[in-house]
Amino acid sequence: MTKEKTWQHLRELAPTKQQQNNMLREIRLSKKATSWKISAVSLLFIAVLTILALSFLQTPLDIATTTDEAKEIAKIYVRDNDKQDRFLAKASCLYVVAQKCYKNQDVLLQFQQAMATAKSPPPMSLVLKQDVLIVYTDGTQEQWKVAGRYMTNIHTQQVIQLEQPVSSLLFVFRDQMQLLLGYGFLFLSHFILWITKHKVPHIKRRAFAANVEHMIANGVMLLLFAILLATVYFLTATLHAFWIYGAFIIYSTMQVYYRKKAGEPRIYILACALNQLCIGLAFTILFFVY
Amino acid sequence: MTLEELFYLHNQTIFKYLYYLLNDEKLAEDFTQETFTRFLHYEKSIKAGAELAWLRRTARNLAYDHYRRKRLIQFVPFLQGHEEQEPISPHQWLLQQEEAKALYLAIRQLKLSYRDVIILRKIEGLSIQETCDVLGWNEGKVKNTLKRALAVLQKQLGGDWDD
Repeated sequence: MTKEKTWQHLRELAPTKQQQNNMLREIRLSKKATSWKISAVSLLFIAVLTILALSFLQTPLDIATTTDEAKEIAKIYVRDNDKQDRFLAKASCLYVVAQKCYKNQDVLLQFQQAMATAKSPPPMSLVLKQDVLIVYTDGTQEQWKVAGRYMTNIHTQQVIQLEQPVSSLLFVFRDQMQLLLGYGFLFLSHFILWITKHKVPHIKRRAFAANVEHMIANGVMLLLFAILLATVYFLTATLHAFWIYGAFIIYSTMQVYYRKKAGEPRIYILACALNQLCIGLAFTILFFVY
Repeated sequence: MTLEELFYLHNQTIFKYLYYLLNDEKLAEDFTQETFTRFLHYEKSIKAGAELAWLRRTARNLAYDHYRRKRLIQFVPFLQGHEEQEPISPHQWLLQQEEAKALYLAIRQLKLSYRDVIILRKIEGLSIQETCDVLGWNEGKVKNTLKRALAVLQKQLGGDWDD
């Protein structure tokens, strides 16, 4: 037998008719079974992120309705605002940009003690640069304008002088565990990608996008989100977490969708979803938990 | 083109490619089925005329994923189970000719990259460019790897294999 005939013999290998029919039958069955299904990974991912977003958007129901004479500060919202005639701070921890929300008990106690021991300064003109909205445990609120150590109540016009500037009293010191947890999730997101790349080496070059279509979609999405967030900020002078989470959820879902569409390995799609989830959790802990 | 038409047109090519790559008839059958199932799933995103290239790439990814899972990327042991299958199976058909059997057994002992390029160039009969597209290699790498693979093959066949 010649060498070419030997190669030809190898080329003529084919599955039997029965094997072909079996395969085709299974493929048809899989079509019927999967035509309505949503991937379990996508479903889990969307469900977790939705719950996460909703848990931040809900209004607390346990606001005190009775007046307590020994009331304590529950939260402080501080917002940069040069406009003397307008008070812009809002009673919500979900305004991420230009406003800070303080819930740390040590900070609140320190601030309350400083206000209790504040002096009454002689009349003077002040350039008030910050809004401070104080919410007490009984639900009552106080609106103050601040300039360094001086605070002016915008309703009673009362002026008090603290021993230290407001900014130093509200200096953000976070719980070490929260910081560790936040940076832990960031590390975990990198670790997941690293271990997945190690496990499935051929996806190393596809970290940002699975294919050209995905890359274009990512570019367009990032541009649109940047325009959207900038527009919302310029229109409302602040940025609510809803917009950030909304953009992030859409972006994360699209990552999973495009990678599935491109036929990426299931393990990498799962890693991609977990990576986005870790980034979302890290952002939540580092930016919302003071 | 309907799924049935596409399947009957290409299933032999995909099965053959997977069979020589995996050295396992049952696995080749399963992965051929999985390749077409995935095609069905991603059908809308695949350009007309590029179906075979997509099927080949998917089949290759499935095979390589299998080897990664089994940690057998460099070495595949001889599977005795093949010898006990039904006489009508493709495997038995293949081994009916002594020289083809020797060639097949020599190919299956090659390392995976050599085997891949031999299958595509010598068995599938793909051009250099088509092989580059499937493997994601450049032309030089395909040519060099094929040259080395044939040299190893010739050595395994006792040096009398002039190709």
